[in-house]
Amino acid sequence: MKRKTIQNTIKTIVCLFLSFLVVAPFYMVLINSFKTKGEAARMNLSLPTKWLFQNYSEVIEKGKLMQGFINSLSYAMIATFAGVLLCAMAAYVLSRNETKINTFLYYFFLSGLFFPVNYVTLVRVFQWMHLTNTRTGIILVFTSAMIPFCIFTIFSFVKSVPVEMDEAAVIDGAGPVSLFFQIIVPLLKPTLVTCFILEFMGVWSDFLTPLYLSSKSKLFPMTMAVYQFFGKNKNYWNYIFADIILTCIPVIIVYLLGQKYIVGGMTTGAVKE
Amino acid sequence: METCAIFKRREAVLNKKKIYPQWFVIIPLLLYILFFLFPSLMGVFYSFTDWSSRTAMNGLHFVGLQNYTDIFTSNKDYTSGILNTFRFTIISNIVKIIPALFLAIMLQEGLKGKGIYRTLFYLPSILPFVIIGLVFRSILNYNNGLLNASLDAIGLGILKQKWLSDLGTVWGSIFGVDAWRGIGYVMTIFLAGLNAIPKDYYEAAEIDGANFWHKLWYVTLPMMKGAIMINLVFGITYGLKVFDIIYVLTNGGPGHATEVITTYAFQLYSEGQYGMSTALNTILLLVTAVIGVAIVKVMSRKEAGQS
Amino acid sequence: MLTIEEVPNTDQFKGQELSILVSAGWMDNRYDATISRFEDTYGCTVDLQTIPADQYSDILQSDLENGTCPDIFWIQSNPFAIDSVIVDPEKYCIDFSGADWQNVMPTSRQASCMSGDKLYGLQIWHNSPEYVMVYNKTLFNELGITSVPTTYDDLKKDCATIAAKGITPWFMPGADGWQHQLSFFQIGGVYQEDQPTLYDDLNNNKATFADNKKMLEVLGQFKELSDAGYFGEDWIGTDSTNMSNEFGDRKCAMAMANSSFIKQIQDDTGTKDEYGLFLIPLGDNTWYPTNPAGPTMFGYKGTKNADLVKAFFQFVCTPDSLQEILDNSPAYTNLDVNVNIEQHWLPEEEEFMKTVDPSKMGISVLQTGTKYTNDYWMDFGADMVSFCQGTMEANDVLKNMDTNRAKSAKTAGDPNWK
Repeated sequence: MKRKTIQNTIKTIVCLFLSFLVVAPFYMVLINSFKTKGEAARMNLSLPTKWLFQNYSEVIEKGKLMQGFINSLSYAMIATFAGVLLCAMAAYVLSRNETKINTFLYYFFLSGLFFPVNYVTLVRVFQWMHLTNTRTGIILVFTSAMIPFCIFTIFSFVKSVPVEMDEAAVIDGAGPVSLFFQIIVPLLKPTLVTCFILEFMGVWSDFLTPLYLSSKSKLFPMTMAVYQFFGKNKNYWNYIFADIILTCIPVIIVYLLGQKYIVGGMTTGAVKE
Repeated sequence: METCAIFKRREAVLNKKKIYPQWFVIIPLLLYILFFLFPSLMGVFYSFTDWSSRTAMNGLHFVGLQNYTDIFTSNKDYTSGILNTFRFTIISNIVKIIPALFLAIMLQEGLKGKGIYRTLFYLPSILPFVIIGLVFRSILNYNNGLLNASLDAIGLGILKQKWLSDLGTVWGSIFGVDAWRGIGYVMTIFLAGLNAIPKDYYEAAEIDGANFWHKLWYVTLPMMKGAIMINLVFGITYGLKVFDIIYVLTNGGPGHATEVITTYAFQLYSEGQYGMSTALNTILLLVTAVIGVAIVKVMSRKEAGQS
Repeated sequence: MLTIEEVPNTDQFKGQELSILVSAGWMDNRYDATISRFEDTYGCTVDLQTIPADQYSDILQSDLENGTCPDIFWIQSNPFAIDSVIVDPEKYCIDFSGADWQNVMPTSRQASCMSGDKLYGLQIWHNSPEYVMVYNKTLFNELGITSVPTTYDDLKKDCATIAAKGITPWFMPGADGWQHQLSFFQIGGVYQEDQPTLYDDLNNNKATFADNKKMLEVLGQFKELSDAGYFGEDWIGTDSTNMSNEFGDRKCAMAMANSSFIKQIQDDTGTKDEYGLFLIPLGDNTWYPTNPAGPTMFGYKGTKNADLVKAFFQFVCTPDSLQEILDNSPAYTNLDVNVNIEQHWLPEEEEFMKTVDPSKMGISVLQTGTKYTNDYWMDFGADMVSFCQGTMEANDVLKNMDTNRAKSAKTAGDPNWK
């Protein structure tokens, strides 16, 4: 007992110290978002001489953040949801049914991890398909880009779901679709949620894709707004930091909600049944 | 034995083609080819042309391997850029993967507030690179920066450095900031992996008298092959393709001390030499692909051997 | 003095949308009021897209090549830029030749808006001294420095006096990557004075940067100041984010900046110190940094709203709009236009301009007066840092510039480089 408490105390101290290292730069961003332009340029940790809460309303208005927020949310939510689901289905089949074709396809998808996205040629493809300046087009690209990573990740974890579960369900009369959605998916939850969190953040912070694929600012994501305040002679650090805080909040929420689903030790009892 | 016979019968029941329908794979395959692979390959094709900012005027011409030979006979010190890239890849992964593993293990057990800690450690990876560069260039500033000021405050003033301009410390600073940013991401994947390990394996090991290190070596690591492989492959591709963190912290400087392959490719692109830039990226792509696929093959074989 | 009138509104543009592609820093919020009025006047909407500076040229090139460019786009223009950046203005730009507003711009700026006798662009920019030395006059006086340095030796002496008091003499934000090389390029006149046909020779491949005596001298002076610590202990690792506070806190005495920076220091820090301007004295320079360059806007030839674009250009040049743009530019003190508007020249600027010899304003800065040089701005800066850290020789810095320029010249098919 005593050893456990000493261990836990040490662990807590280490975690607190690391948390401090992690939080300090965020605190710097947060505290400077409430200062005047001149004060914010010093980028230190002191409290503002005057708390300028209106910096946030300025940023929301000038940076058209509401519109950007809706765009980013729709891109990230839809693309990630679709992407993770589609990849789960594909990775599951590739893993369970190891034919020659499927092994080839797995490595085929995998190679995508190494290819860089080429925006110039992508725009050409878009034009052929009349997808420029459409929300659908942008979402399709986001979904496609996450396929290599998701298939790769989920493939590795599918093996941890015992094939006996499949067999039991088939005996009980389940078809392929209900087998997948009712048995496999719940067991893959930690993996799927992890994938979702990581890819959501990826799509959320990707501002290059909508930038190249649309020439209308009403399709721009929230993360573009910061550049309204960035200029050679106009560095409104306080606004920039306020914008960053606002942009980070949704991703934090997604992580907080998601990591409740990554609970420990699943299938312990299931197989024995 | 009786159970074996039952299993054999069950296997016969499982018609793989019907239960694992191939059409599950079609949609991702189409999307992947159309919107990802095809544009990328088209991009590679450009590396065999004289594509440049003058192409609108002069037209596009096929030049074969010209760009590639130009790269290897250029006056720029691409060799040290390539060496830097490899060195960064190896060191940054060691610096991130090992601590992340221990962090994940630590946050797996019953520790009060582990949900909050996990979220906190993940936070750095959501900050845009531009901001990370801004904030850390300020923190690492010699005169007013937070780091040196803190060292002064706790009496360790002699340890003060010109973190981002001294040739001896600049790489260390880059590894530090990269680790600050990346450990949370790596840890999140390890957490998912740890969650897949059934608790009774540990209980069984403890009954056999295993301590922390035994459990780590004989239970955790083997079961984590998948997560380790993901982090290795992802970490190595990230390392070889690294751009943003170097661009915002030093832009390849001071001088050319921290140039990597991608910063050179970016410079070529900015100078209008699109064909050469794509060629450099293609070389990078090939090296990355070979290494990545090799890792996957090796680790998959090990895993197959295990079961 | 011209007075341009806006195109009369007959609801011809009602409900249309005008899209503008611009890089961060070139329009900012300055044009917001004018754009708003434009929208109200004609019942149309304006879609202003501000792109991060790093991505801008990529986006523009991609848009031009793919035919998806917004109605109006900007570039940083100088007499050679249209050919090197837009490459084929006939194909991509609306021909504005003969427009009323052409002479709103002074002739020197028109050169950056034309290609082959056709007018394509509009450049509304200020004429304040750019990147000269801004210094704390009050501080100088307190330290007994009663006149500004005009030679390198004077500069060195003054730096020593200032440094002795623990103040950074010349604040140099090396980490920005684009500032420190200004000290080399802005004094272009000094090189031309030393070798009277230098610019033309450089443009015709009859001269090189390498082995140029004056250039080697200037680079040597730069390193000397760096070695002595006069740029600050860690100038290579310091960027310009906190520059106005450094002045306000009296941690530094001078730096290269635009004259409008003085206003920024006063606004940001509320300092009571007085500031002034003088020419960069490296190489004993006495030349004014004339630079007929600036952000310039063009109309995209493939637009579906050509008349709306033309109306916008016209609208921007009316006296009301120009006044509005100037008034909304906290960083600029004047607009270089042939229109009667109320300028806001700083007394410091007027005082400085009085000290400049008009005969020393005829040579433009090195990066604008010579072809292919500006493309390698950042590269040259990085080499300068290597030189200061002792990993490169001064002449190699110059040799690299020659090699790079040759590369660009060959790609452009320049007949002088075979």
